[in-house]
Amino acid sequence: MGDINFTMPTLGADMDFGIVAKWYIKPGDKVEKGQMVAEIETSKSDIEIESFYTGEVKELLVEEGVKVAVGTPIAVFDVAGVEHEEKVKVTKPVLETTAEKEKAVPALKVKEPVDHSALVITPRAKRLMAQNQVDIKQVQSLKQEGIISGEDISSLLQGEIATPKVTKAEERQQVIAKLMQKSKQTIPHFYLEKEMELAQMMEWLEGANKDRSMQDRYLPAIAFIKVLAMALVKYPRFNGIYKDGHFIASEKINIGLIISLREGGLIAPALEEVDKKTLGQLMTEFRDLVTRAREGKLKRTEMESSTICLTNLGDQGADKVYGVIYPPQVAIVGTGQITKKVIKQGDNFIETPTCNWTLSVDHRVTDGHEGSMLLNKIQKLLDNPTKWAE
Amino acid sequence: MDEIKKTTFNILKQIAPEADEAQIELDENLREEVDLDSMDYLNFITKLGEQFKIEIPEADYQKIETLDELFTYIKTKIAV
Repeated sequence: MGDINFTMPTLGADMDFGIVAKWYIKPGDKVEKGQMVAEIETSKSDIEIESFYTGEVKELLVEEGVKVAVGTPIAVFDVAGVEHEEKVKVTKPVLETTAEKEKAVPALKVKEPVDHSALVITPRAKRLMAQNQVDIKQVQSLKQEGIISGEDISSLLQGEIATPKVTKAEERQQVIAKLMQKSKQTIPHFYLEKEMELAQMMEWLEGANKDRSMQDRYLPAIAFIKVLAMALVKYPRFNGIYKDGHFIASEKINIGLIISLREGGLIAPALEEVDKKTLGQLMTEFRDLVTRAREGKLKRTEMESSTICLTNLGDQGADKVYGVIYPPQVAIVGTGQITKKVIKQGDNFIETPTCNWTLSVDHRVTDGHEGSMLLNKIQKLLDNPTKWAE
Repeated sequence: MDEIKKTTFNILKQIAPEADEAQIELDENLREEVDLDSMDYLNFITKLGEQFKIEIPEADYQKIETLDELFTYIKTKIAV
């Protein structure tokens, strides 16, 4: 047996810190690999994290409510077959807690009510507000803009106040800018697009949905996800990560879905092993994923496991979207809105549904030739739903 | 009709908690007004179906793009 540090994980390439919102374990507890051990509050969502190890909890290094940088040891586990690691006790949090900042502030200065759209309220904070009947005006007395965390609401309930250091606009911009900058600076993107004809797919969906209950109806989006996965089986060089100068193909096809959060911002959890699942299974998992993403209840594995991303902006009305690759992945696929186009068929002109698909790819890994082949494969699959729909 | 409106708004609030009833234009496209993506819309339609005990075929989606259209549609369906 040996001690091993359990560190604050990175739950997405854009995460720099996390707050231990809740520990599910205490010293002396036995933990199994895969067991949920804590809930982490991030600027986007609450995410449950699981243990990588089987062993015993020796010590919790970080108290609930403390904000620490990614990679900081937060607990020590006693694990069989592991060399002893030097633990790093976080006596002072790496980044100060909101509670500590608040203590330095002598008196509550109530400001005039402001437009609360300038505030980002984390899912945990929203739950606490609902449970304790905290009004938005009370929250506005804390901050005019910025992120309201669960800690802020707890402090408010205890009669303390918080002062903002980073405004909402700044924090949001920083998170997005950092990721996009890293991607654009390090990944030589190239872009391809193809207008896909969807007549066969839409006809198949319409027929299938007639016999299904309202809740179980298939969305075009789920068909797109499945078709992409099936095309990647044939063209695996778009599915994986680029690391240390090499492309590492992924055995699994886990498609990260760009989901917009109602309070603003994006999150990209994965639907896993899409190629192996039926449309029905995918619909169930997709619904669950969207619901939990919006409730701030995603799991760590879902945030870390995607091997390629799909961004579907069709619902918002855009005709096409050129995605920025989510590092260290090597490709992102974009789909626009489904529109009707008139085409000539024999001597007749007919109306047919179409959708623009785009492909942003890392040129260090593959090229436009292979990208075109992938897009052609997607069109063939869209033309033959029996090949991928059950 | 008031009951239909009230129930519909309650369901809408479950899907889009931040939606402000007073701000939604009744004769504008609902999905755009409240920013509902296809999954949100499917969940909305499903809940309407359960609540009002009606079946809303996919082919009817284009008939209920605005709230005004939707209220009338539900009223007609319930009456059948």
